[in-house]
Parts: sequence; C-alpha cells; structure tokens
Amino acid sequence: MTAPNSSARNDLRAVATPLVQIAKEPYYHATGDELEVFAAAAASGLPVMLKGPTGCGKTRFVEHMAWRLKRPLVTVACHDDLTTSDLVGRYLIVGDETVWMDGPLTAAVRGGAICYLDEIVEARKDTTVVIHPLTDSRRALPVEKRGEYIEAPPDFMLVISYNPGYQSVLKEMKPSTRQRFVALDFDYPQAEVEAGIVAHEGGVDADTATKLVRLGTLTRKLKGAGLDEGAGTRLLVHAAQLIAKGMAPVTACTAAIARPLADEPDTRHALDDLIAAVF
Amino acid sequence: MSERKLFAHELEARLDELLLLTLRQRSAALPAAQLEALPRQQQERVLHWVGIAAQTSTELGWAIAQRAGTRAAQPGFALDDWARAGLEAHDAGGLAAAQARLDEYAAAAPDSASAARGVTFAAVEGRLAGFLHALDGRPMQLRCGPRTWTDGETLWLPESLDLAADAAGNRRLYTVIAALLWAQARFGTFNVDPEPELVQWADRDTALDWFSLFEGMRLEARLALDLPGLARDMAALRGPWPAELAPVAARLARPEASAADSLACMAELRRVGAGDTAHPPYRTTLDPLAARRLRAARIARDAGTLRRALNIMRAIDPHSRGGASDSEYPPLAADGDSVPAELQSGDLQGLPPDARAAAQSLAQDLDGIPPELLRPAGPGAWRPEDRDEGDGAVAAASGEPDALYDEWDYRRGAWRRDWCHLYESEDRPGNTPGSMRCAFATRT
Ligand SMILES: Nc1ncnc2c1ncn2[C@@H]1O[C@H](COP(=O)(O)OP(=O)(O)O)[C@@H](O)[C@H]1O
Ligand SMILES: [Mg+2]
Repeated sequence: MTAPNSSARNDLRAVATPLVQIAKEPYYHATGDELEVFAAAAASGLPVMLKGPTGCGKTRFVEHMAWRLKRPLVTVACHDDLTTSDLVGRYLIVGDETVWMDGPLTAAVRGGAICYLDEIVEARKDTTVVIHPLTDSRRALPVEKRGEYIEAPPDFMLVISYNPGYQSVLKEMKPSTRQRFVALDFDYPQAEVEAGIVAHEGGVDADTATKLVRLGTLTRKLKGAGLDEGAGTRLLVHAAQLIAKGMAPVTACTAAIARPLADEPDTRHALDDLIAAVF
Repeated sequence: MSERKLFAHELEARLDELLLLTLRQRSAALPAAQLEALPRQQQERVLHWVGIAAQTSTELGWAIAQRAGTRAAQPGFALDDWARAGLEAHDAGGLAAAQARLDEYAAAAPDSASAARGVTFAAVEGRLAGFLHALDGRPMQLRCGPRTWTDGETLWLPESLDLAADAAGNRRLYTVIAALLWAQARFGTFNVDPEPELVQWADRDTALDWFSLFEGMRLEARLALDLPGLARDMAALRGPWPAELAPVAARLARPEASAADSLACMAELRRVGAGDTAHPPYRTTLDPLAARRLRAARIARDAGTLRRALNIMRAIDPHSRGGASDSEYPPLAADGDSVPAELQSGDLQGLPPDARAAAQSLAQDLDGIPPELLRPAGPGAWRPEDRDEGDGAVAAASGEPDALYDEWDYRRGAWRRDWCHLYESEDRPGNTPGSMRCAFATRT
C-alpha cells in the first residue's frame, strides 16, 4: 500500500458506497424478547452479539431492527481472508491521485449506521481486535493508516453474529471479545412458528410448510451424527420456493436441503430416505 | 467436493499420508496408478476406507489400498461391502484372514440377475442407521439375522432382500421394515402384556403372526401422521387388505388405537375362527417375552438413573427443589410438592443429559412418567459426596477379559463384534459396595 502524500488526503465520498436505509419492513417473526433487548441495547449504545445456528433468522432480525430504528445497515460477511483494511479502509490510486476509501466499518461509524459483522469468528484474529475500541466506553475507531480517531455518533451500533455449534477450538470466540457484547440467543423457532415463516417466505401452503419443518426437525437430530448442523430455516425456505415454482417436493428437498447438507454417501442416502418418508 | 479425478501423484500422496508408507519404505505408486482410473467419488470412497482401516492397522489399510483399484473397476462392485467384510475378517482372524476375505470376496462378486437387484444389509446399514437416528433422536442398534424382529432396543433385519424387482425397491423395503420395527418400540407394541391372549391360541406362532399383522395395520396409520411417504410405501408393498380384514384395519387406524386394540381384535378373531394371516412383504416377527424382559430391565435402569439424578439435584439445591435433603430417603412422591415441577409438567430440561435420556425412555416405555418413580434412590445410592474414592479397585486391563461386548465404532459407522472388553476385579474386604469398577479397553 502506497503512503499518501499529505495533499492527497481527499475525502472519498465519490468512491465509497453510500449508506442506505431499509425502506420496506423486512418480515421478521419474533420468537422471544429479542426486539426489546435489541432496542434497549441500541438506546444505550451497547454492542450486540447474536448467537445461534446458521439460517435461523439472525441476519433477517438485524435487517428488521435497522428498519425499526431507522438506521442504515452495513453488513459484512466475514471470511478467513478478511483483513483489517477490508473493514477499515485503504488507499487507492484513482487516476494519478492516491485517495483514501473508507471500509464498511469506517463508513458505518461515520454515518451512524448499524454495522453487522456476520460470522465474526471466520475473520482473522487481528481483525477482531480493531472492533475492541468500538465495543467499550471509548466507542471509537482508530484509523491508523490515516492517523485518524473517529468517535462514533450515538446512532452507530455494532452487531456481530456467532455460531457456537461448530465445535472447533479455532472457531471459538475469545472471552476478551465476547464479554463486550449484550448477547441474544437464537434458535430454530417452534415448529408452528417456523412453518408460518416457511409458508410466508416460501409461498407454499400450510401443509407443505409443516412437512418441510418436520423434515428440518428430523435433520437437526443428525447433528453430530453425520451432519455438522441440521437444516436451518433458510434451507427450508429455499425448498419451499422451489416447490412454489412447481417443482416436485422430493426433487426440491433433495436439491435445496439434502445436497447442501451432506457429502458423505450414507448420510446423503439417509436424508433421501427422510425426504421420501416425510412427503 | 470437487468432481475432478485425482491424479496418480495426488493419490500417492494421500495414501502415503494415511499409511505412512515412506516410513515403511513402500511405494503407493502402483495402487495409485490403478485408482487414477476411477471416478472421483469412488477414489474418495477408497481413501475413506483405507483411512478407517489404518486406524485399526496400517497393514490392513495397505491390504485394502493394494486391492481396491482393480476391484472397484469392476462394474457394480460393492466397494463398501467389500471393505467392511475385510475389516470384520480382520477383527475376527487378523491380517491374513482379512487379506483372504478381500481376495475371495471378488470371486464371489454378484453377477446373477437376482444379485444385481438384491440388496445386502451391509449396503444399507449406514443409511438406515442415519435414517433411524433422525427418527428416534438417538443411535439405534442394527443387526442382521435370520429373524426380522426387535426386542425394543436392537433391530434385527434380513441379511439381504431381493423380493422387489429392482435394487431401489429392495432398499425401500429395508427402510420400511426398519421403520416398522422402530415404530413397534416407539409406539407401544411392547407396552401391553399379550400373554393372556396368546395362551388362548392353540398355536402360538399363528397367534403372534396375527398380532404382528394387526400391529402393522395400527403402526402404518400411526406412521402416516408424520411420515406419510413411508406409510404410502407400506400400503403399496402390501396392496389392498383382503375384504374381511378391511374393517379391522380401519378400526386399528384410529388415532387412539393402541396395542391393546390389536389384542382385542385377536380375541374377536379367535372366537370366529382364524385362518392364515395375510403376509405383507415387510412382515416382521414378534417375540414379546424377550422384548418385555428387556423392557423391564430398561425401566429399572432408567428409573434408577432418574432417581439418582433427582437425589443429586435435591442434595445440591434442596430449597428450589422443594424437598428436604432427604437423609432417610422418604418416598418423595408421597408428598406431591417434592416432585420437581418441571418434571410434572414434562419439561426435562433441568435434568442432566443422561437422566433426561432416561426420563424420555421411561416416558416411552410407560406412556408417561409415573409419580412413584420420581423418588430418590434408596440408601447406598450414588450421591455426590461418595464419588471418587480412588480408583485403586480398577483392574489393570490385562490378561483375558471376563466378557466381550459388541460396541459401536463411530468411524466405521457400524457395530463391531466383541470390540469392547470387560474386566472384572475381585471385591476385596474393606472395599465399599460402590468400589466395584469395570475397566474397558478396546482391542488394538
Ligand atoms: N424469525 C424469522 N422471521 C422471519 N424469517 C425468518 C426467521 N427466521 C428465519 N427466517 C427465514 O430464514 C432465512 C434465513 O435467515 P437468516 O437471517 O439469513 O439466517 P442467519 O443469519 O441466522 O444465518 C431468512 O431469509 C428468512 O426467510
Ligand atoms: Mg446470516
């Protein structure tokens, strides 16, 4: 990365993506007191951690809360190549100028947005450290490359998600990080509630939705016995969407649920048998 | 998984890694060259079995690796069955037996039409284990044998099936039979005592055939509630019931029907005179005496586990559990408030996992948890404070074991005969009753 010459310390609004506010209410079915807790944390400037298996509504919930609180939402899907620069920003050469571009985190801090770091443990360890000053009483983001110290406005809020299901030491979150957050536990909703969500999101009738949820519940029993994790609501919604398009349920479930879940032949066949049994 | 075939040098590296071949100054070049011709999925399957075998013995892994390439190239070759047969032979007779089994298996490779559509237990064991685990929430013990039945804990399935016209049909038949046996245990076939009815029949086997048939009718309807696809398969396999049986089938299909209704139907049939039963292809046999013996032992064991857990919960937290810390073990169920509220309401989350499993198993055996079971165990029961008196009494795991058990090997995804060794030790004077310990060792 080239060092800037001081005259080129331009503001980069031209390059940075503008922050957007969610206009239409994202459908979210609350399953506990998560709406109240999140709103209270937002009002107190506290960061929030959403814990739970994949596809159980964490991302949807954040979208819904951003809409409710009328704050822009910046979502970052964390992965193992995610660097601090990807989050905070970097210098770019634009024409013959060196210009700074805010990363999504910096943009969210400046704009008083909700910044959602999805699957935070996937990111490299050094990346998690940059969020620390934002999660305590400092509520600030040091942008070292620019020698800038940005104090977060009251509307800025940090939200992270974390799936404790993957039993891997490497994917554990350190206490020094986790103890900074107000935590909300997410789990698959009760069967009837989940069927309502699947029917609504997938555009299928109640009977089909109930069967999809029954299948999902059966696959969740195989966690640790052939599957790392059972089918989340998301996979059930995907299958529902295929069925709504006219695909036969067994074909839809095989493509949207069984294949994404398992590679190992015995487990794949067991899932095939479950699909055939439920439909 | 990427579908690209692995090249010989990649296969060689993977084999080397699994079997530490360079250390043994062996080369995987030849087996790797043979495996290169296979599709990726089969290549991975071979490596999978080599890896599993290597956990038992690298020689065994090498034996499989050497032979797999040429064997797996034969059309329709059942690689999984072949490898499992080799592993079993190794368990029973060592490396030489395994090598012989792996070689002769090829000679016996199926080529007739019936073998092509026939399906062996070994070929479906893994998928059935997964299927039943999902249905039951716990691993189920699967075996094959001459009789198709369950004692409520182990499911015995046929060694092979070739009744259906194709392999897919025979696999479906396996699934239906396994689900039906599971349903017998799950939905109360063994929760009634059939003996008073059975003894009134001249021929016990005929009586059991009818009982099994009627229970099949009831359970098909029960399965149809949650697993309509499975019930459809059953109905298709059996065809329509004969006209004289249709009313009974309808009666047993009512949601409130229980095994007692099947017995009542038998009593009626007995009075009008029973002929031979219909024989659906998924027919199972019943051995209610064996099942009820096991059930009694299971109830006693689960009740003990649950009571001990309740004891501990009360000892740790006497106030919130509503009981005194019962030094004299009064029958707590006598005063209603000492039964933890969460148990009365059926919520078992407060229990430790083993006790929760015991409570669930009890609820299944007894259609609910009777209050008299929610008492702490009697004197001498395990309580938190008399744990760990030192493990001096544990026998050294040496010499001949006193007993051998089959145990589940999660890596193979199969039960292993006599894999678990039980050593007993003498109860020396001065040892407390609780000091008898068993030491388990797995054969290496
Ligand atoms: N409580 C809920 N309300 C509405 N939709 C939900 C809910 N839970 C799950 N979903 C559905 O499941 C899908 C996946 O949820 P998502 O929020 O992406 O999961 P996560 O972020 O936990 O992995 C959503 O797109 C939505 O269709
Ligand atoms: Mg998400």
